[in-house]
Amino acid sequence: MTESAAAPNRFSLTARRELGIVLALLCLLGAMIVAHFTRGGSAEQLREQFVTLANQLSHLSIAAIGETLVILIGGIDISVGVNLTIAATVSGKVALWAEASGLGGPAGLLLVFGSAIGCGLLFGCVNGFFTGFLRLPGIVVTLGTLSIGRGLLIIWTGGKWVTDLPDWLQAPANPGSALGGVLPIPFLLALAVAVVFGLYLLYAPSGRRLYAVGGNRRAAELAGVHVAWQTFQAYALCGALVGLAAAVCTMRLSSIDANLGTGFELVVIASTVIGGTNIFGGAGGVVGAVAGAAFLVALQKSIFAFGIHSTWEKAFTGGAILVAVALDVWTSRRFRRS
Amino acid sequence: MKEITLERNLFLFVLLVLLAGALYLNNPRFLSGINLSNVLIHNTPLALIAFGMTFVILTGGIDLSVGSILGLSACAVGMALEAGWSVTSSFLAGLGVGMLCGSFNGLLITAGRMPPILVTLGAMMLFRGLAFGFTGGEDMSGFPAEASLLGNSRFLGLPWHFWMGLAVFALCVVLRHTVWGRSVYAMGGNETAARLAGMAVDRDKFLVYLLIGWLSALAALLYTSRVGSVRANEGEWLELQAITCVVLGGASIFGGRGTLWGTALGVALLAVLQNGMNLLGVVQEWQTVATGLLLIAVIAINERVSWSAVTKRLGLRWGRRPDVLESRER
Repeated sequence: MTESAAAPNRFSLTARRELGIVLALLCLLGAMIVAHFTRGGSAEQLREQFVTLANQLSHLSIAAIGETLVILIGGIDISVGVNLTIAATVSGKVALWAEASGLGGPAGLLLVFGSAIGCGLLFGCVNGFFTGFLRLPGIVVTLGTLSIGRGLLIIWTGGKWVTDLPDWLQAPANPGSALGGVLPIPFLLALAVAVVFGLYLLYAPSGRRLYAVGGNRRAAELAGVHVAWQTFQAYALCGALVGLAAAVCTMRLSSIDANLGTGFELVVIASTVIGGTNIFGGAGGVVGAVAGAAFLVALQKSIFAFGIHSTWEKAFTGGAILVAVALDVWTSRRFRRS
Repeated sequence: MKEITLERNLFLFVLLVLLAGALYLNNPRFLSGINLSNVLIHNTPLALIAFGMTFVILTGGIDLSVGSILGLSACAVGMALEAGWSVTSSFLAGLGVGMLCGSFNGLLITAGRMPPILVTLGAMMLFRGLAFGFTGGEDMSGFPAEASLLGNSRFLGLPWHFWMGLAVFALCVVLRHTVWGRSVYAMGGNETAARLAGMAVDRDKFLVYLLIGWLSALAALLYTSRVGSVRANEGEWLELQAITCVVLGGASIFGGRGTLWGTALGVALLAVLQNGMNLLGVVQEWQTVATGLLLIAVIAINERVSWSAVTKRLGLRWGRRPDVLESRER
């Protein structure tokens, strides 16, 4: 509440909120580099690992930025995993259709991205309609759309995988085509999204209104904010961004299965929250979401780097989320609902 | 308040009767003893967890980790049995693990002042990860015969599941008539007010999370005993199903409003819907779709339809004072 009111301090506040996770991320990356060299790895292997990491980070951070918008207004979207799977399946089928009708290259890519974003946007609009205009609680609505989406998806595909995705789709995401050998194209895309939405949240009136609604819904309403429309907008944008994340997945993966997004919503929400976004809304931002996503991906990688067996991976992720949230709460006490 | 709950529950009950009636007309096998007892046995673990979830949601919290607690408790039972422990001590160990998990959540939420949704989100992954880590992701089966007694035998002609479910349902008396039960409602309605009124909010909230941990472990025992094998990913999606049942039962997701009766009706509605679709030969996925549609429809009706206005128009009266009721309708 106070955060969103103190508009002149937005930069210093942004820095302070997200400082913890950025420091934690740097420490983890440093420890991974040290562990890599002490185990006798070469610099070339390290570069390859970081390209993989950046690639894996790209779709997660795009989706986490979308979730940030929803959590900022005090909502939550737990249907992002299903949304991602549906949009990826649709765009995968579109890619196959484009290949069959001879539309390769840029035109095909445009079709794939357009269909994925459109599909995600549609899903987001459904969520936004119920939460915004009917004022139903987000957790229940998205729980419902999660069930509906999951059921319809399996009925449609029959649980079959989308395979044999064309080469022109995979080529841009190929680690070999990474910019300067270290920055893969999906990662650059994620960076661009982060910059655009970072500026949107800092400067655009409708971006600032998201903070107003999340900080104090009633006050925002009295100040003339159209709360229903803002809520709708946040869910719709979240859906569209998840669609974009799905397009990145389609580009990166050789096949799309019906379990692609299972559990994805939890990782997305976790990234957002350990990046310092208040789960009750009104405070947070894009930098934290990206840093949180990077931290979780790096943590997963580090489990292998430190030589821990992969069956413990989930326990480590869960433990890390708890530690991050606990540190955050105990150092700032900002989760208290006023 | 009481009358509104009655009206909501009546709506659910009518829905349930209509659904059951339609199913019976379509397929008389629906009301056969075997089918009903199957429905009961399959849904008791869910019902136990949904009852616990009602308490949690009444306090204004949420528990996403119930499915993982079930999985971890089941794995604990399986590992204890494989290590040659007696059936009784293995089951007690399973219950102990569930209560430990519940107190872990409860401590972080009350003493640690962390938001329930985040604590249980992390705990969901942590407990599931521990289950995978300790078992190495491998199935366990071939337990001694006594281990399957609980899940496959009957008492007074009815399966043990029924008696367990009934015993836990008796918590509605606790919720309604004990200091602790009223405190659960009070802190969900307004936590600061409850604290200022001198209620031991932290202790009472801790007990709620302990209770749901215990109930999840009990559900794990019933399930493991019936199926006779254990997997680390047991109970996945159970948290979402339990929340669905509670919300179907008319509880407010923001706390302070809801009953165990409502939740029981919610579980029954979901169970009958799924069983009916099974009998009609509808594929599993359409059941998932129907569950989601039902959830959104019921919450829209509960939140956006004023029951007092509806009953007034229909000329139904419950001897209530309209002025008090109108102010409670949000």
